[in-house]
Amino acid sequence: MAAALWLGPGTGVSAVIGSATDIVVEIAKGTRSAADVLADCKALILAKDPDLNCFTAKTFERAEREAAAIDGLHALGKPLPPLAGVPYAVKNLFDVEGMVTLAGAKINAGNAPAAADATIVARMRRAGAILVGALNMEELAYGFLTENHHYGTTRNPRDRTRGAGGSSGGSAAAVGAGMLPISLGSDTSGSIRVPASLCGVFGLKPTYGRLSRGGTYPFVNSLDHVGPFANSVSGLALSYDAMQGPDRKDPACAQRAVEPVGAALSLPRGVRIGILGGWFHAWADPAARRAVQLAAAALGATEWTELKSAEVARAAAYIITGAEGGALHRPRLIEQYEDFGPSSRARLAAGSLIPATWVIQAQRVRRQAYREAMDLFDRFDLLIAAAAPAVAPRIGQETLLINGRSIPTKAGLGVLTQPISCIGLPVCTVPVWPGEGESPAERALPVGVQIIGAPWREGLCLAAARTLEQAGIAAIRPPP
Amino acid sequence: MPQRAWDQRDLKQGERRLCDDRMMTEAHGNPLESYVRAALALQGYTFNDAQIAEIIEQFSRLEAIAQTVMQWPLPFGSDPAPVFRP
Repeated sequence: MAAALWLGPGTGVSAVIGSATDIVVEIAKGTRSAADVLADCKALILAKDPDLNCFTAKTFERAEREAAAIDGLHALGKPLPPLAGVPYAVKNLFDVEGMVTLAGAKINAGNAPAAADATIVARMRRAGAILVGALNMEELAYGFLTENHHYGTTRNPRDRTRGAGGSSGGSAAAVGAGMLPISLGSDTSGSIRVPASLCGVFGLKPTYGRLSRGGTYPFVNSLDHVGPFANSVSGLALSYDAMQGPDRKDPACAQRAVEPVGAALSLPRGVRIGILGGWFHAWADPAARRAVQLAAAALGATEWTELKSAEVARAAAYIITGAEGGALHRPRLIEQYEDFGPSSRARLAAGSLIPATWVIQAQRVRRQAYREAMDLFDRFDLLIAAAAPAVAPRIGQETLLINGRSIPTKAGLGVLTQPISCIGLPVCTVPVWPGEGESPAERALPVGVQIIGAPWREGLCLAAARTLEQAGIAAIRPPP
Repeated sequence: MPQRAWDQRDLKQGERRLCDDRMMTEAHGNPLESYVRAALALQGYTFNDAQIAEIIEQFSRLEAIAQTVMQWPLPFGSDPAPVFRP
């Protein structure tokens, strides 16, 4: 069986692409070429995407050029870069040279094409990865679904009647469907972690400022992060390492040297892992609680703790998001209100009216919540919590019922992620299969678990994720 | 719209708030709606009533969430999270 493509017929397993590591090894050995891998990837996309609506554009011509360059290096016996021949795609808020950066919005469709790749797209290219397209998202990254008024709904690869989550829904669903080993997304309040949870894939939201947002379409500058999705922890690590480094194009990008994690994915002995209770337990339904329980047991975590400011940190994130997002889009809301989607425009306009006192108070709350979290990291090296309050909701489902409490789906899916991104901590989300639910369909769905580290400790988050992957607790399952 | 009387400065804080609220209510039905209408005008928006109604609905959700933030006890002089980096 070729690692780059598991063929379904006769195996009971749908065709899916292999992991980034498998692809890199096969190409290095010469058992497959980058062109072979790309051909398989294109076939999977053409077969699966019409049903799921992950892609808004395909860049196959560029991909063929990039794959030919890798095969050329191999033919000459030259060293191959770390992601040589690995296909990937990007949320359509990343600049891709020659393409219009949509950010899921009709208002951007008439913009000029990007003159250059976004910083981390250029770094992926230099690392040998092969760009195959741009992916669907929530309009302007504002929301936890990918039910896009202009570009359609992205469906969940585990159950077509359910949503992929958002805002990076196309990125998560394309990996979950087995079309890609890696994709890139962004996370302002949970937009990597929520869709990773709903689609059953790995996702990394690094520390705020770790990865450059140069050449990406902004939403909330003080909260925006970018990061990868993958079908393996090693895929996350490989791509994360390739994308690190300072960048003058992003004023928030930290001036830190690259700190590679790829070779050190083992959890040190004696790591102290706390289980987040309080807000994180209250807003986790039985399936989400079971997922946390499974992860905790596998990691040997037994001690519960609490981030007391979680609720107010979430509220602060909500206010900051509204204010910054609203201010960003105000000029075009004035001119083109009807060109925004119906679920975005009124929220953005309302956000642009938020008084400064609310924003300043929210930023003060944010600082206090950060300090409380730092106190927790005196006692623990990592914290774990569910990434979403429940399994993937049905498309169009307006409310979630969590432990008897109703919450609007669009905002509620981020209830467990917002307090963490509000304070910029690194999080690796891993797919866990709790087997809980009221129906067989629900029992077959994943819930993500957030592995949360202190700032700049992405390596530790990834190492814990790797431990769960090796234990079989966190796993990618072939789509049904 | 009733004109704000200067002698309201002499009222106690609670009485003044009641007075302000009454003026707002008389003007536009409720203070939140009045705020949204005034802020929209100040920001340069010109919307029809249906559009304003959906913005008022969204702003009321923000206002409810803002209460959690505004009521959170913080030490005087606690610093906000900085974003600007020179």
